[in-house]
Amino acid sequence: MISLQNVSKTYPNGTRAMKNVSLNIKKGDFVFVVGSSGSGKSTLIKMLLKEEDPTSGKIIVNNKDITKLKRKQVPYLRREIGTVFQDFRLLPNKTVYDNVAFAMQVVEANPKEIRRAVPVTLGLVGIAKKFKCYPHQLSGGEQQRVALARAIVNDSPILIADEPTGNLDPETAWEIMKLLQDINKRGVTVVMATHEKEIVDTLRKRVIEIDNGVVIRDSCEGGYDCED
Amino acid sequence: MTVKIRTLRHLSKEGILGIWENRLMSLASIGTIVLCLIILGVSFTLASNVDYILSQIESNVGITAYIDDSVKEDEITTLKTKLEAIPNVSGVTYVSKDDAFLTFTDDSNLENIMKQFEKDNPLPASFEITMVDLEEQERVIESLEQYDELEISYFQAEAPMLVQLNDSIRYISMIIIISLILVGIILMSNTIKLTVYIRRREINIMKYIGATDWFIRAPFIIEGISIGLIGGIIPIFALWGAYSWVLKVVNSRFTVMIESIKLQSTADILSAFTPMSLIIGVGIGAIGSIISIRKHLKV
Ligand SMILES: Nc1ncnc2c1ncn2[C@@H]1O[C@H](COP(=O)(O)OP(=O)(O)O)[C@@H](O)[C@H]1O
Ligand SMILES: [Mg+2]
Repeated sequence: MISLQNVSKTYPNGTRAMKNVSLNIKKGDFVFVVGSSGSGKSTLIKMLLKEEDPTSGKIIVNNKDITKLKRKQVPYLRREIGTVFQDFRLLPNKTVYDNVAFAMQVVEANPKEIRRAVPVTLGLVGIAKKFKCYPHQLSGGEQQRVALARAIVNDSPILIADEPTGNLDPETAWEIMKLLQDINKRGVTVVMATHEKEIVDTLRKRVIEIDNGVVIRDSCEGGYDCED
Repeated sequence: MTVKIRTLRHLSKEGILGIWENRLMSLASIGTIVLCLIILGVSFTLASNVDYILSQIESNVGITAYIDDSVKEDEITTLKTKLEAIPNVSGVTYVSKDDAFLTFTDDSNLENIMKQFEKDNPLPASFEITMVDLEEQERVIESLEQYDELEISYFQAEAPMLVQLNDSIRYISMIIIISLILVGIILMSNTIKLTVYIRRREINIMKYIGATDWFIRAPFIIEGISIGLIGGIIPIFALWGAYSWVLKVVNSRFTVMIESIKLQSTADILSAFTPMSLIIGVGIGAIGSIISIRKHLKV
């Protein structure tokens, strides 16, 4: 599903954020990308979304070499990938319902399909009751639920989360983690960057640890088969 | 392009929302476009009326060529045909000595004086020559001057003055209009730039969701075109109101003075100005927003 081959990234200012990284993530995997702040987690995620291009190496997402993607094709790559961020990134002037519906309008979905899928998805993440609220009327955990609903409403096969629990208290963080696992159980490949050791240690999932732009550990817990 | 109607509707809503979110700049842009088009409207109205009046004068005022008494009656017809063949001459009317005398004696003040000359009419016969284009009067006169038997009389000053006035109005308003169109485009693109800035977060989010360039850009172009459209409609109504009022005033006060000269009707002015105003307004809006998007909306 996702494959990095000898990927290096040097930012224009000279920062070497990724050094010759190779890894494979299979369809249906749940993978943590861990490492201290500044280790290069976000850089990895930005490259998967083609927000940044690697300086060298190849990145394959869904059987496509995205380093060769033309600018015009980038939106279609991003439709394959649901995204969740630490800062939720909801549209402040749209209600919960409209925020999620908007993701479907962008891909020009049928209005009938939008009316069907949005309430179902809001129910799935447990925020259906507050569909009329605006983001500023919601707690952080609730906002992240809406962001999750938006990330999965188009049935994208991949979900990428960059520190999704970073702004949440531990209890709420666990609720979000439970949802992410639910989503993964439905067949979605989940890649989550985090520096929260407790979560990673408790959920026995595959962990890719990055330090200073280098993969220093790629573990498979509980007999998890991580090599192709 | 497989753009669906509802997508277009959604994008239009976003675009019009942009005008409101950014109302101060939108108002400034609309104001500039309106100002630009009102000046265009006024100068267009002036120019087209001067043109219209000129064409009326041209058909009235012409050149008088007095014929030497030595020219015999039977040579007159040949001479008339020759004059009619001169380029830009639209009509040649022969006024005989008797006709001229009758015209003079019609004037009661001159009646007594003219009586003395009844036996020996001193007035020459003449040709009244009208022209297609008053601007070309010089050339016609040059042609006429080749005939020794003719003595030319014409309004030397008025014609070029009117033509010059018309040209000056055109040049000055052209310069003002072009500068205002440029100012309009610059203000327009700044307005869009500000909307892009206000919405930068939203644009970023849309990119993550997988919105195409077109989907992200369209609302801004729609915003620009809508601003241009509003800016194009207002001057039409302004000109309509103002010109109807001017016509009313002119017709009620000056009818006696300029009986033979008419001004353009409101309908004539508006039917020419309406498409002009809408096209320029929408054009400024579209160009301004496209420039701005190219510069400030890297999607
Ligand atoms: N746009 C950028 N330009 C220059 N350097 C950057 C940029 N983004 C990140 N970096 C640098 O790259 C390194 C990795 O950053 P990042 O991927 O954000 O780490 P993490 O998400 O693990 O905290 C850091 O040293 C950071 O300062
Ligand atoms: Mg980060």
